[in-house]
Amino acid sequence: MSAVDITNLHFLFFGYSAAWLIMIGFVFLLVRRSRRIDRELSRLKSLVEDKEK
Amino acid sequence: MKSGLMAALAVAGKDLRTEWRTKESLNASVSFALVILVLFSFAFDLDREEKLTISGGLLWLVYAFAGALIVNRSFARELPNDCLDVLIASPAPGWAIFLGKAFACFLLLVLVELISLPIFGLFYNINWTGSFFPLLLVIALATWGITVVGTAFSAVTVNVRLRELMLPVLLYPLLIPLLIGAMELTTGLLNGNAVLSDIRILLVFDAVFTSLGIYLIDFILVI
Amino acid sequence: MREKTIYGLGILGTLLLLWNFYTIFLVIPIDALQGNIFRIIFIHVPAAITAFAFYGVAVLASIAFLITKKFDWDSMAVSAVEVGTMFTMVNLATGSIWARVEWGIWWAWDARMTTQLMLFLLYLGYLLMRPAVTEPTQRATMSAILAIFAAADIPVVVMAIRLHNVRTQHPGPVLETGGLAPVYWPPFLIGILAFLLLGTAMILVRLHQESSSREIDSLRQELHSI
Repeated sequence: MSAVDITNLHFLFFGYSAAWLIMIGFVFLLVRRSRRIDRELSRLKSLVEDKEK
Repeated sequence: MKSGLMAALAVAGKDLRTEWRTKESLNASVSFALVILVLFSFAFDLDREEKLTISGGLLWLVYAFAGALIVNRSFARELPNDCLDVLIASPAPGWAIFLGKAFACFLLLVLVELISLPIFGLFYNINWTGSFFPLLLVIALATWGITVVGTAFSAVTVNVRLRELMLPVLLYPLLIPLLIGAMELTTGLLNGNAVLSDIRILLVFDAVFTSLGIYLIDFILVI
Repeated sequence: MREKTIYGLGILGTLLLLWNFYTIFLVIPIDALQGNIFRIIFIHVPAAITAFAFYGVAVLASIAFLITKKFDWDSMAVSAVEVGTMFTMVNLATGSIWARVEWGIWWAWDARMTTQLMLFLLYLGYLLMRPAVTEPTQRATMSAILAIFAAADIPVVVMAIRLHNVRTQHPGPVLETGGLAPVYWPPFLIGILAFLLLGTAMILVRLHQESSSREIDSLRQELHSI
């Protein structure tokens, strides 16, 4: 393979990595947010139940 | 329709009168424009050719920054003493309030621009008198675009935290096509090789956003 | 049911992407002119198309909110804008890397990339503004107005950039030089489908988060009043 081809492959790798990192990063943010919301929701629900008793 | 236009003129007159008595945003705007002009002349060390090439871009950057200051005040000045609620409750239709305020901002911004123009010509040794009337047309059309979108966003952000910061952040990306057109035309006019058909961009922008503003202002003012 | 849909879409989308990889790397012949870097098109363009689709959904949802005043439409709008912005970032990143290989520069102010950048900036402002407004109705109305203004700006942006590029002779978009050879179409289309499926799964997750947030707000109010 020529030097140009090798450089091309390197950049191709960077390109695909960048795309995957961004997508996985977003999914990670979604998951983190979901956990936070579920925690808050269950906390508030138990607080409301306690108050009603 | 006619009473609406009368209402719009009344709102515009009120804004202009208020501004003329205090001159607070006029002063701030002109000072800001001057400071930026000076800063830019230190930022770059250019020969005559290069100055002519960047002339349009530089001028409209200055105008855009000055414009944000003026439109920001537009609805913000109605906040004390619940003036905004009174204005919305008045019989004046939403579009009349919007157009009136936009027109007031337009006149103020054009004033700031016309004051800055000779100073720009002085600092950068650029002759703008040669093509003054076409330049005036470009200034008028582009300034209307800036003020119409700016006034709409001023209404949108009037109750938002950090309004002075949010308004420019939201406004400038939207204005980019208008500014591109204005910059190309101005550089062309100052260099003597303008392509006047570029004015289409300014016309399209003005038409689209004036109608959008008029149509959506009632949704904006309810909030 | 909802969970199953999300998982189903997510898994299907991922599988399609993985199958696409096989096709892209092992089956497709190399482009003679551009070499291996051309394969990035199978992420770059589908990301752009997906982003456009989701921004379109966001604008329609915004209009629907202004008309009906139902918060479900606001949730749909913000979810679509978030996922659309993510795909735009993918597009910008891959486009930049492609430009570096093609033209030796990390950024070229050509029509396509600049339009994508504009979209990114406009809707980034949308996402930045939302936390600054605490009252839900105000926030939803403002977001809707912003989304509509941003969408209306796009045609003007395209017009302005074309003009600017003609003046300053920037490189034209890469895709415009000749069409796509037929052998490249299947992975291309599958790539678009995969991204759309994945994006829809993400939007559904986000929608659920929004309705949970609203539930949290109402529970908080209830607690304050007890």
